[in-house]
Amino acid sequence: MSKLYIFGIGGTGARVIKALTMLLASGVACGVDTIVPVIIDRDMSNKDLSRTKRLIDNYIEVNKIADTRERNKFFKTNIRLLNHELCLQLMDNTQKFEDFTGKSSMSRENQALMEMLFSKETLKMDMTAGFQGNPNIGSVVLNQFENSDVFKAFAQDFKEGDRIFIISSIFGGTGASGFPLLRKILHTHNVKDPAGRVLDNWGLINGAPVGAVSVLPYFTVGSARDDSLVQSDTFIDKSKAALSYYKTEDKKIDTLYYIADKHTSAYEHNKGGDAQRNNAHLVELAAALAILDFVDPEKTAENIRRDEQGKIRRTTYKEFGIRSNAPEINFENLADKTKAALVNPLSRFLLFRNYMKFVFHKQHRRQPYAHKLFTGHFRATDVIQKLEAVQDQYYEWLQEMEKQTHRFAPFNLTSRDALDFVKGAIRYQKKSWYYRNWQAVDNELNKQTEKINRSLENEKKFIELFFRATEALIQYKDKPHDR
Amino acid sequence: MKYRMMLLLAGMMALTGCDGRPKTENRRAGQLAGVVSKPDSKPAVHVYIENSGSMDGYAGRDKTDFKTSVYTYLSDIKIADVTDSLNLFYINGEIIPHSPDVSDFIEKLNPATFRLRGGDRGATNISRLIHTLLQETLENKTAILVSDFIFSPGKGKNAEAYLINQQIGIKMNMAEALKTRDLAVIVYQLSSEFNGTYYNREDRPTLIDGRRPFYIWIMGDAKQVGELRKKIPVSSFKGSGVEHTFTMVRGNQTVDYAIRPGTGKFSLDRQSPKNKITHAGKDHRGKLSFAVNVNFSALLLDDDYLKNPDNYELSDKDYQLHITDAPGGAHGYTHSLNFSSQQIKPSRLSVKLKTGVPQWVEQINDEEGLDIHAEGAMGKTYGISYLINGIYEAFTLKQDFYTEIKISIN
Amino acid sequence: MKDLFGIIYCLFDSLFGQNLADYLWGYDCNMQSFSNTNVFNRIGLLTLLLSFVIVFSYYYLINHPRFNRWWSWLVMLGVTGATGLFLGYGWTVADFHKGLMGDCLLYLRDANGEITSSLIRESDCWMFGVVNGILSIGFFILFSLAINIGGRLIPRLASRNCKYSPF
Repeated sequence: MSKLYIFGIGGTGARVIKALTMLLASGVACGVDTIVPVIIDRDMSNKDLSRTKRLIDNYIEVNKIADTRERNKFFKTNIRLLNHELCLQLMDNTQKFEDFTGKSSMSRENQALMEMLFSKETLKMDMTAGFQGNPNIGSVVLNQFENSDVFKAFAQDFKEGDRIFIISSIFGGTGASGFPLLRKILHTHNVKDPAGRVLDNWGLINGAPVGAVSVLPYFTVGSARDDSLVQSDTFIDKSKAALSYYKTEDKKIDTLYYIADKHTSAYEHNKGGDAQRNNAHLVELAAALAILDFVDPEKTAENIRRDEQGKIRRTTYKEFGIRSNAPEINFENLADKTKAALVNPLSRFLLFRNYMKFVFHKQHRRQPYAHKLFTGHFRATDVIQKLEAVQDQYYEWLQEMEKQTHRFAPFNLTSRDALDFVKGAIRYQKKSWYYRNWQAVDNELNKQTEKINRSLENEKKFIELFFRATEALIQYKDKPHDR
Repeated sequence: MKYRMMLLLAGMMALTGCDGRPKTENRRAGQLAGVVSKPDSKPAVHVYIENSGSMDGYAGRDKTDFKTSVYTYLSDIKIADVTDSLNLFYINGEIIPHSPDVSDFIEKLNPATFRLRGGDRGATNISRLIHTLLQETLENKTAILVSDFIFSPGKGKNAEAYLINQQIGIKMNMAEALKTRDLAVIVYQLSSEFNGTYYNREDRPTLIDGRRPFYIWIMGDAKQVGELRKKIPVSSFKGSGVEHTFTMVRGNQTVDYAIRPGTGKFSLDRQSPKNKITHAGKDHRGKLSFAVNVNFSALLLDDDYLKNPDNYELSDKDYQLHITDAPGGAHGYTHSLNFSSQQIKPSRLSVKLKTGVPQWVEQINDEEGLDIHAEGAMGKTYGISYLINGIYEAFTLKQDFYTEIKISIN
Repeated sequence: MKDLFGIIYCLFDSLFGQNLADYLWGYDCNMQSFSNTNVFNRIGLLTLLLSFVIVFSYYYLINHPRFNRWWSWLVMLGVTGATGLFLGYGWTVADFHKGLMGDCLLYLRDANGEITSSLIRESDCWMFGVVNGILSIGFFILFSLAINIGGRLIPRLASRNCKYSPF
């Protein structure tokens, strides 16, 4: 029962966690059985954040029916929230930076020091909108998060064998500065809570395996429309600055993953709030894969290299690569191992979604698999509604990735064909001349329905059935060169 | 083997015209009573023409119906291949053999030859005649007798007693023979011109010239007689033709019968389809009806008799019967018994074909026998009914029906 | 027991006539007994077999998720009925034309051998076909029930896509 605590910092953190959630929903293998995500952000009204929160709430509900003790892998990995909270909210809400630091109550000498260190604009900056790309500010503020309740809960929850992972972007505000800071806190001994007591399990936390992913620039922003201080041309410079700082992280964390995309996308310029709603990107999916790589039990030896005392001997540095590049990437462009991990789960989950969208309402009244089980008000039950909500978000997520400049479009999303929606020369299904299109799916559902444990509750039967059916219909085999 | 050789020898001797009296006793020597006749062998047919004085009148003229009938009948017998040996005899008190040459026989059929042939030409004792014939025809022979069958009690005798005695005698002789043989008797009544002397019951002669009945009597094994009749049916008789027939066979015979499908609303019982019907229902005429094919050929009865429903006795009065010919294509069946009933009920119907003396016998019987010129007496025969009844009673000692047909209805 | 088919058919014998029924029972005009083959058994067995084949095809061979409604079942029922009808008609009419039915069952003849009426007509063969169609439908329903009930008792035997057709 090992867990992985993921700290996702800033907008990127939220989006990578979202990508990871999608992967887990589709049943991608995970080396731990529970994920505990924490999103650290100052900007609470970030729309990315609210989308991710909704997704995770839905996931947690559906996860309750995912443990069928049979074959089902959809939603299998547990996701838990600390204190039922996803966000570690920074406690102070003071508006301007200078008020936050309490400059006005400082001594004259300190005030002068402040003015020297920070520009006037920076001092007057409204902090509710993140740090607008100023890591130097972020570091100060972020020192505060160790006092939060969520962090306390994290300390209490932590067990021997659990691991920690940190997601951040190397550019931008919140992410760049947060990562090393967080790491430092995790490795500080005897961190005390506001009351002065040493936080529980801190010793364990000190010694736990830590991984991190640092996402390098993969988008530019258009010119500012409002009084934003964010400038994408400074992203590279800031990345360079951060990267050089990260050199000091060597041997402080077990594995560091760098994810980048040379082919950048252009986003709308919104400094935060509701409008910062960046579309999903392949890079986030790659970052999520990094997380899964970190917890992969077969990779423990290469990821975590410590000596007998538990000191990190060497930090493993990893990058994500694909086999071939193109403006549009599909499964064929990915490396074999990536394909092997992704084709089946993503395709099966999409098939599940498509079936529910196009076919279920008509067939569930006619087919034996649904007879007396999934008829009537079944679809309206809370957990199924949430399942379909996740499916909707999944589809949206795929659509967003498709719309990027560097498109990730493994599926023909507009296709209504039951099984022929995977792009590229990927052979993953046996075609039947007798059962065409959706008939083949109904046939498989009817076939699998017999094999399911009769004592399961309806909802569990439902998810188990669809897993088995999609599993039987889509079976991509990992071959050295699929061409 | 030895006996047959003797017989043959004796027969040959008889045929070669030895005018000696045939030793009937010799011929019977070695014969066993009740020898089973082989159905395949063609029986010898012995034809006996009565040549007592009363017969002269039939042969008086050159051409009479009598001569014509007899001649054609004998020729037909020869042609029809019913027998290997046709033997001709004159008979009165004695049996006088004749050569088998039929045409010669007929040419010489005249009073002169009658007289020539001799024998006891006096009054005929019919009972003894029948008895002699029965003896002659033991062992597979068919006897045909042509006679006028007039009883002759004689003068001063009690005619009635005589007749009754004759009847009893005939009955007893016949009954005795019937114990061991399956006999059948057919009596054809024909008529012919009669120009000669008629002797009444007191033997008083009268010269007459008119039409008188005469009879051809056939007797023998039932199968052979039936065969003979089939090969030479009534229709083939020339001259006057057969005016009436009397047939007699043993009673309680089994005949072939079977219910004919398609003759009504019923199912045939699957185990006994010939005589059981099930699920009987009313047909479109509102009656239960069915037809039974039946083979009456062994009974030697003619259609007049067989088609008369009065001759049948039904065990259940609810059923009506009418008889038709069997439909063409019904193999081996001669007639069809058609039943109908208003009621449907489970029943076991028994249909008995009764024996009986035909009416014509009473009509042709001359009770008086004295005055030939009396009203209608010319066409009658004195005492014939006693002869016929004697035969009848012999045959019907034990049963009074020819055959019984049983049908089960459900 | 060997008459079971015949008894069932004969419940309807008013439709196709006693004479055709007699032929089918095996009435031999020459023997005047039921010594010929019991055709009821043959036709009945073949009809039973065909009904079973059709039922089996529907549930296990055709076995299609788009052909599993109540009206799909009705279509198969119709097919079975039609098969039974044409089998019954075809068989009897072939025998009729081949001259296998005895003369005594076919015609009523008068004393001269002239035909007075036809006892078995082609329309009787059609009616027998109808009866056979009804019977085949009966078998179809029985087999369907058996498969439906069997499938509910022993799930492994159930039809994959037509498990609840038509009930």
